[in-house]
Parts: sequence; C-alpha cells; structure tokens
Amino acid sequence: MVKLHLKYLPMNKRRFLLIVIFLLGFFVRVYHIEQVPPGLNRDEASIGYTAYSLLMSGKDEYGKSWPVSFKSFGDWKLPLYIYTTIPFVKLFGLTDIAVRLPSVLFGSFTIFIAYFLSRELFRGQGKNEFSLWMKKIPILSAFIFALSPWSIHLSRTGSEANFAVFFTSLGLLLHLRFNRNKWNILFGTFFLVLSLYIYHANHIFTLLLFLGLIVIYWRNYKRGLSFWVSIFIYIILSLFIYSQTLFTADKTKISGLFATSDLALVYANVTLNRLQHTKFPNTVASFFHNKLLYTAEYTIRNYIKSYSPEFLFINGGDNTQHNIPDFGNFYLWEAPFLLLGVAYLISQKNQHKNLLIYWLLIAPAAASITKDAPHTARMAVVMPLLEILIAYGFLSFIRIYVFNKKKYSYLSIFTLIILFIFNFAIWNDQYFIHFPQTRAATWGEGYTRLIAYLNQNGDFGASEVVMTRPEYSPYIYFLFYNKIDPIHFQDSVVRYAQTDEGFQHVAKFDNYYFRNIDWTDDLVIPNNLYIAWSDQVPGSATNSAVLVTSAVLQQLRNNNKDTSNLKIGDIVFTQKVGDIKLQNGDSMFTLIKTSKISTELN
Amino acid sequence: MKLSDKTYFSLFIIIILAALLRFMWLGKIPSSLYSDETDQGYNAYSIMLTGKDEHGVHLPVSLRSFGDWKPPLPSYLMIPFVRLLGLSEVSVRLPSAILGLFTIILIFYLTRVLLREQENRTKIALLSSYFLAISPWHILQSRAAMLVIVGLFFLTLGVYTFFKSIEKKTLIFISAFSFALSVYSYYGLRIVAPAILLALLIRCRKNVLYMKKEFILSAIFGLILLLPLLLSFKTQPDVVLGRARTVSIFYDQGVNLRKWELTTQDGISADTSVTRFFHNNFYMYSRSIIQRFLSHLDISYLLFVGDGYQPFQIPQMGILYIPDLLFILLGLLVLYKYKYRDRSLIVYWVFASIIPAAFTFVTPASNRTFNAVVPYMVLAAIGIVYAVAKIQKKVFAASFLTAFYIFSFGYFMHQYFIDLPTYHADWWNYGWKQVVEYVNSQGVKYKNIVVPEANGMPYVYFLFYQKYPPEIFQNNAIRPYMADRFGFENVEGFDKYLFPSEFDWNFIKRNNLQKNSLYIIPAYQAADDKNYLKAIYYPNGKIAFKIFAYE
Repeated sequence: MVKLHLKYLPMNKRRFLLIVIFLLGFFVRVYHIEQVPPGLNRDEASIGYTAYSLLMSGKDEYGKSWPVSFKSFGDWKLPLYIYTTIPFVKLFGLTDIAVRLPSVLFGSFTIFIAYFLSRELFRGQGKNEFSLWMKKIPILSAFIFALSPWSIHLSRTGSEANFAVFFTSLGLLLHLRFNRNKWNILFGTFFLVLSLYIYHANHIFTLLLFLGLIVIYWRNYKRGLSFWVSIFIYIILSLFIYSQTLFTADKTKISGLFATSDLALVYANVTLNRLQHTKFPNTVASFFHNKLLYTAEYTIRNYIKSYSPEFLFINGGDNTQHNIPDFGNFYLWEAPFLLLGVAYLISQKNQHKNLLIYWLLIAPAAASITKDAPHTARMAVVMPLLEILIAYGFLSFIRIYVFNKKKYSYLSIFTLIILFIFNFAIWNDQYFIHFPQTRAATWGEGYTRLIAYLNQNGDFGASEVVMTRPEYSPYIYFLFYNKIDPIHFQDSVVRYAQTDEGFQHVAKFDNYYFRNIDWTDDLVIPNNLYIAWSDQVPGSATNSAVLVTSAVLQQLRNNNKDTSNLKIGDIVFTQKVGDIKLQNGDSMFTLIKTSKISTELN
Repeated sequence: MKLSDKTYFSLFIIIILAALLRFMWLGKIPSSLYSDETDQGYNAYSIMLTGKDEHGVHLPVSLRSFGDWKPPLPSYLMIPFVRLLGLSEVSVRLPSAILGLFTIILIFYLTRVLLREQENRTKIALLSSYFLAISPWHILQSRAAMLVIVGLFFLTLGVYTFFKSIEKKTLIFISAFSFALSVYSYYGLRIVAPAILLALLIRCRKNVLYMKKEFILSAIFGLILLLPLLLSFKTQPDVVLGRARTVSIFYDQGVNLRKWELTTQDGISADTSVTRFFHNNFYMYSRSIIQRFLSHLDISYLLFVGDGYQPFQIPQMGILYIPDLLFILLGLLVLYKYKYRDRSLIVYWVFASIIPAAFTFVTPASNRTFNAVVPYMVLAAIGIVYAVAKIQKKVFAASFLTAFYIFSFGYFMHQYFIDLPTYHADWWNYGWKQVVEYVNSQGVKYKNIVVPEANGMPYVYFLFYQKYPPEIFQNNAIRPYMADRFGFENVEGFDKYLFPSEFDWNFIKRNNLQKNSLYIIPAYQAADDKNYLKAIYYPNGKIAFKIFAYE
C-alpha cells in the first residue's frame, strides 16, 4: 500500500483551491464570450430586447406592463431570466455580453454549489482511509463541473436551463442542511420554487424533486413552523406561476411540445398501423394502436435516449444550438467513471442514496414527454449530479484499483491526467475554432453582419426593406442591434395572426417588412431592398430588368401591389447589392435592390 | 455432483421448447432464402457433386462467393442435409437450427462449470439455457444460415471442453478441434476465438502446466487443422482477410474526410504541428471506435431498435427482451458483489465479442457481436435467480415476471412469426423462388432472360432453384471479377441468363430492348408500367417483380 498524503487539506488551502477552480471555470465561461457562440440566437436576442424594453418603457414587446409571462414569439418566456438581465443591460447597454453574463455568472456560481452539495451528499461517517478519499469528492466535483462541456456551453449561451440549475441545486443544498438552521428549509424551498419562474422544464422536474424530498426525508425533517411555511410558500408561488402560464396563455405552446399534437407523427405511428389491420374490426385496431400507447412508447424511448452514451459522450442532443459538433455533453474519458460512480452509488452505503437515485430517475422526465429528446437543455437539471458521480466513480477507482497495486499506481494516474488534458485541449479546439465555423448559420452571426452592413449603407436608401422567413423572427435582431425605441416599436408593430402552434410572427415595423417574396411581382416594385436567404434566391432575381407595360401594371394591381411609383414605360431593374457571408465563407443572406429608369413610351 | 431427474426433465422441456422455436416452419419463416443463404446452399451442392465450389476451386478453404469470401464450414455442414433432403430451404437452414439447439444444451453445462463454486449453479444453468432458448437474438440466427450461429456453437464447445479437460485430459483435443473449426465458420471469430483462448490459457495456466504433453499435442493438432487456411493465405490473402478488410473502419473514408474538413477550418495560417496535434488519426479513430463500441451497449439498440441491417432485424424490436436487460445488469452487480469465481471471464467474453465489431462500420451490428449472447444469458440467469431469492413476496414476483415475460415473448412471436414474413418479406429477398418457377415453366419460349441485379444476387437463385449442374456453371459463368464499391463481384450471365448491373429499365425499354427476351424487373424500377406479362407479389400484396416479354 502506498502511503499518501491523505490528510484532509486544511480549511484555508481548500478554500484557496476552490477559488482557483472557480476562477478557472469562470474564465472558460467568459473567454471570448462575444465571439463564441457566433452571435446571439433569437431567444437570447429576445431576452435582451425585452429587458431593454422593460428598462426603457416598463412594458414588453406587446405593451404589457411588467408581465410575469412574456409572449415573445409566442413561446411564452418565463420572467426571472429577463428581469435578471435588466441591470446588466443597464450596465453594459444592449449588447451580447449583457444577455449572456447572467448565465455565465450563475453557471460559475454553480461550481461552488457543486462543491458544497457533494460535501453534503458524501459526508463520511468514520475516519478510515475510505472516508478520507471520499472527502476529496467535493473539490473534484467542483473541478469536473467547472470544466464540464455541458455546463460551459449552456453558461455561454444565455440559457434559462443553466440559470435554473443554479436555483435547483442551491435549493437542494439548503434542504439537505435543514438540521443546521431551521430556516434553511424555508430558503431552500424558496430557491427551488424560483426555478419555476425561469425554465419550463422545471415545472415538471422541480415539482417531482420537491415531492421526493418531502417523502424521502419525511422522518428527518423537524416538522415545525418553517417546514409548514415552506410547503405553503411552495404551493402559493407555484400556483401563482401556473396560473400565469400553464392554465392560460401558453396552453398552445405546451401542447405543441408533445408528439401527440403533431399530426404527421400521429398519422405515421397510429393511423397507419390501424390501417394494416384488415382482418379485425376497428375497435381491435384502436385497442393496439392509440395515442395513449404511442405516448407511453415514445416516452420510454426518449427516457432511454436521455442516458444513452451517444447523448452523454459522443454527439449530444439533436438540437444544433445546444451542442457543438463531434462532442458530447461530457468528455469521453469520463464515461467509465460515470458508470462506476452509478454502480458504486447503487451498491455502496450512502445516507442520501435514495435521493440521488431518485434524482437520476426523474431528471429525464421533462425531456421524455416532449418531442425532441434527448434534449441538452431540458436534461440540464441532472447537473451537477452526474459530475458528482463522475468524481465519486473516479476516486473510488483510484482508491480500489490503483493504490492497491503499487506497481502501476503512478503510471495510471499519470495516464489519466494526460488523457484528461488531451481531451480538454481537443474540446478547446473544437469549441473555439471549429464550432463557430461549422455552426455559424444556426447562430446570429449572419444577422449581426447583415444589420451592420445595412447601417453602413443606410439601407441603400430603400423605401421598404423586405426580409423573408418571418417564422425565423429576424425582426428581433433589428430591434436588438439597432436599439429601436421600445415605445415606438410597440406602437408601430404589425403582427401576423397566431399560428396553430401558438407562434405569432412580426409582419412589419417602421419600413421593415417580414414576408415571403414573390419573385415575379415584387421585383417590379422600384426602390425596395429584398433580403433573402441565399439558398432561396432564384438565379434570375439578381439581375433582371422589366419594362412596365399596362399588362404588367394590371397584374400588379390584381395582386394588390402598390403601383403608385410606376408608370407605363418605366424600366425596373434589380441589382445584387450584397452578400452576407459567414466566417466559414458560406453566404447566408443575399441583398437585392430594385431601381427604376423612366423612359418615354406610349 | 449427479444431476437430479428433475433437472434432466427441466432441461428436456427447455430443449423441446427450443426445438419447436427453431424447427417449426423452418422453410417458410423467414419467408425466403437470403442471397447469402442461397449461395452457401448451392456451394454445398456444388462441392457435393463435383468437389469444387461455384468458382471451380477444389475443396475451398474460403468461398469466394460474391467476392465476400465466406468462411466455408457452414456450407460443408450443409452437404449431408442437401444429400438427404435435396436442395431446399430446409436443408440449407437445418445445420444452423441444429447447432443452435446444441448450443442451448452446451450453455447449460458450461454455466455449471463457470459457476462451479455456486450452490445454485444448476438452477442458474437451467435458466441460462432457458433464456437462450427463447432469446430473439438466438432464434433469429438459428433460423437462418448466416455463419455466426455455427461459430458460436464451436466457440462454446471449445470453452466448455477446455474447462472439462482439467478433469479429463483428452478433452483438450476436442477443445483444440472446436477452436480451429470456429475459425473456419466466421470472420469475427478469427479475432474473438484467439482472444478467448488466450484468456482461458491465462486463467488455467497452472492446469495447463500440469498436462504439458496433452496440451502441446493438442496445440499441434489445432495448428494442423488451421494449416490449409494458413497455406492458402500465401497465395490468396483474401482467404483470411476477405470481407473483414472491406468492412473495417480503416477502409471507410469517413474519418479521413472529417479530418481534412477540420484541418481546412483551421485556416492557412495555422501551424502544421498544431493542426496535427488536434486532428490526428489516433484521436479521431479512437473516438469513432469508442462510439461504435458504446453503440452496442445502447439500450435503445438492445431493446427497441435492433440491428439496422435488414436480415438481422426483427420489426420494431431489439435483440433482448426488456426484462432481460434488467436481469443482466443485476447479474453483473451480483457477479462482482459476491465475487463469483470466473466473473472476469464472463465479462471478458462480452467485451471480446463486442470490441472487434467496434472496428467495423455500420454499427451497431448484432451478428458481429453475436458471441455476446452466451455471457448475456448467463448474466440474466444469475440476476433472476438472485432477484427471486431476495424478493419476499414470491407469488407476486413470480406472477409479475411471468406476465412480463409472456407479454414480451408474445410480442416477439407476433413480430417475428407474423409481422416479419407478412410485411417485411422484402428484407429477405423475397420473390426469386416464384420468379424461377415462372421462368422454368415459360422461359423455354425465349432466347434471352434478362435479370437486372437487384434485391440480392439473382444468378444464385436460378442456380439453386433449377439445381443447375455445377460443373457446367463452373465453366460457363461469365465472371469479370470486378468488385463494385461494396466489394461485391457480379456474375454477368450464364446459359441464356443475363444479369446486368447498373440496369435502368426506363432507359432500356425505350432504346435498347433485345428481341425474343424475357425481362424480370424489380417493381420499384417499373412502377408505372402496366403492360407486364406477370407480376410476382409480396405476401402483403405489393408487387415485388414485374415480368415483361419482348418478342
């Protein structure tokens, strides 16, 4: 047996180490935050502008004063992240960094929570060698969490899910420390319930977690005043937010998340199967193939995918905004240790075993019942548990396998450290070099460049700027980067009717129009600027010329186009005035300007 | 310890059940012979009559077949059945079914040996045997002539007799014999069998030293058996590597392409050494291999999706039952918690079966990892025996588990015996038998019969169902020996049959029809044509082939 310095580090050194880890974690979360990810996604832009709008006018985009639930694009954003962003917008102005900083900060603070939470979870009883090893879990958990790709990426993206992780883990921590101070449970509950005000997935997870805490620790809690008050607080505050969201406006939004409201999926998985039953009556077919069974089936499939190696270690989820290419949510080298950690959790004694297993089991709940699982953001509630389990598995491994076999001990540790450093280096390269290039189109970089280009050229003097694909909400980038006066916007905006999925898109504000371009008629209207995704522009659109005749005029009038600037004999020609290129060289937007020459023709 | 009558009776029942699941409707389910099965059957026929395979190679150590160099043993095993029953679906599949059944008996004895220190080993052994008997994975392979089932039998026999040779030394010869034959039955076993043999040698090194003489003699015996293969390696390396080379991830260019893409993104100014550090073959291949390894442990794959390759697929089902997986995991925990004697060997067997498959593309692959079915079933048996012993409410647990298994088993029975042959007959190259029957009755009227290469290799079905004289085919087949991009070599024709590859019916019918010919066109190429002479239907009523005549 190798004698190691297994002394528990003295308090001041531990604190110093923790601070170093925190600074390291903060640094990787904030480094180049304005360039990577490349530009804001539309939710971040919406959060930022809504905060700005509240700051300037006290109202959201829809003119509603200090709302609890923000309609935004029709996705009904929850309030807390937006309200937290207000001071940052005040400080930094309406910039990318102001939107992302709350997530960066709270993601970094979670490093502390990972430390204290794992200390609470693995509080050893005895003073044997094993407990000394277990005492290193907290600092290792904090380290693994600080450098976890999952947490770093969400922290860097203005993610509500990441913000909620801070509150759930803090609430949980205070709950576990209920016997230190009778008010801990009250504050713990308060933080837990706050997560309901941040992220939709927590409406399921936090509820399950709170119920689980009460059931698992029913015998331990001193059921005094603070206990009942905290339950009361939970009920009141959760009912309040549910009354603002669940039971009212975002019903459509919520139903849109489920596979059973997707007609195509229902047809493929239920109706088509029923049609195969030619020999049996319809009741038999409906007994075997119905929405309920289908829901159960895909929930189980999703649930299993949430813990699949593919999701955790190889490629992450399907949503291209939540993960970077060729990288999972954890480092590859962590895979065996996570497995070991779970195996040890199940087989070894631990006073909080039930809670931890329960946490593992309920974490995929919200992601499983919705359509696009496995979902990196909806599964985020499993943090920092998995990091803690990796630390647990790692230390157990070191203790049992390495230090019992003198010969290879240092070699093994050395190999692991090399592997870790190499994997971290690869992650850095992938994250800071390749991710922005490969995924630039899914982020806001194209919009940033587009708006800068327009401002630089004064919109090319166009009377109308028409942009396609209103369903991608391009308007929000104009608001954000041009810092459009919120009051002015609220007054002048025109929106489309709500879609079946509950989305409501902006049709126009000022002289910006968001609609699909009719590539024949629209090009005959002079002095307009058309902005379209480069892949949808027909070749003839970039340099055409049309002689206006009475037939042309008639056709335009029939199609309800404004022909006030046109007269017979005009020649309207189009001209490509710009290509907005992404940093990988792909062209994202094409800008087309129409102009007019008058000729005398009768 | 003598086995009780009760044990023998239980084993007997399990064997009856296994036999029913493997021999019933063997010719009809799967609904038709897959092209690989047909080819092996015809090669067996050819070797039986002429001593040569379809390529005219005398007693081949590897069947060149479609250019994929099939290991030969399964075909040789078909010869007696082809002699007795004639060339038919049943005679081709019988060796698989019989060896599959034998494996179920073997796993019983093997488990007893592996767990020789456990009191309840007979119970566990019976349950492993039972689990294997009803395993979808094993049933699927037992009912098809697809190599791996033969390999698994010899591997299991080799391991069992190796352990038994500790008591009875001469058995080591049977072990050497089995390991050598397993190498002749499946490519994967050329890695897995040595890997497991090595582990056995390390595990039993003291016993081996104790019987040096027998061991050395048996090793020589085994090497002599492998000699034909090793010798022919010198003249034709494909005999040993063959298909294994074209399916390896190093043959595929995916990783290299990705590497070039990443290197380009680094930009021109990036330092070469830095670029090479971040984008090196070692990391990228390791990642790919780990990904492929882990994909075989993915629960969705094991329980719900299964192999993506069609003949190894059970519609909407994985390769294990849902409760199986729970007990396998429990078994694993029990194995380590109670420190079972040969725990490492059991786990090693799983890894040794999966790791070679991680080096191939198109993963997860259930046939390449088929050897894992034995340790999986042993683990499941350990798990369930432990669970049943632990649970207080026996009646409740028993009825719950029974219901769960009956439901899972019923679902499998429906999916495999009803759904697969009815709705997915195309997965098994359905329709050729009917085509050949039609051609046999009507083909004399035509000078040429044109069969574009689609849905498998058509030529082999004509050989098989016409019992075409092998010596004529060996000499007259038109074979350019050009491999296509998947490494397959086509037969362009024999007799009056033509098998054009890259055949576009819509082009041919307008420009280039030959006189006095019969065209057999897969339905998807001729979706809009109405004037066909005859249609061959799938069991679900869709058209598989349309037959056109041009006078």
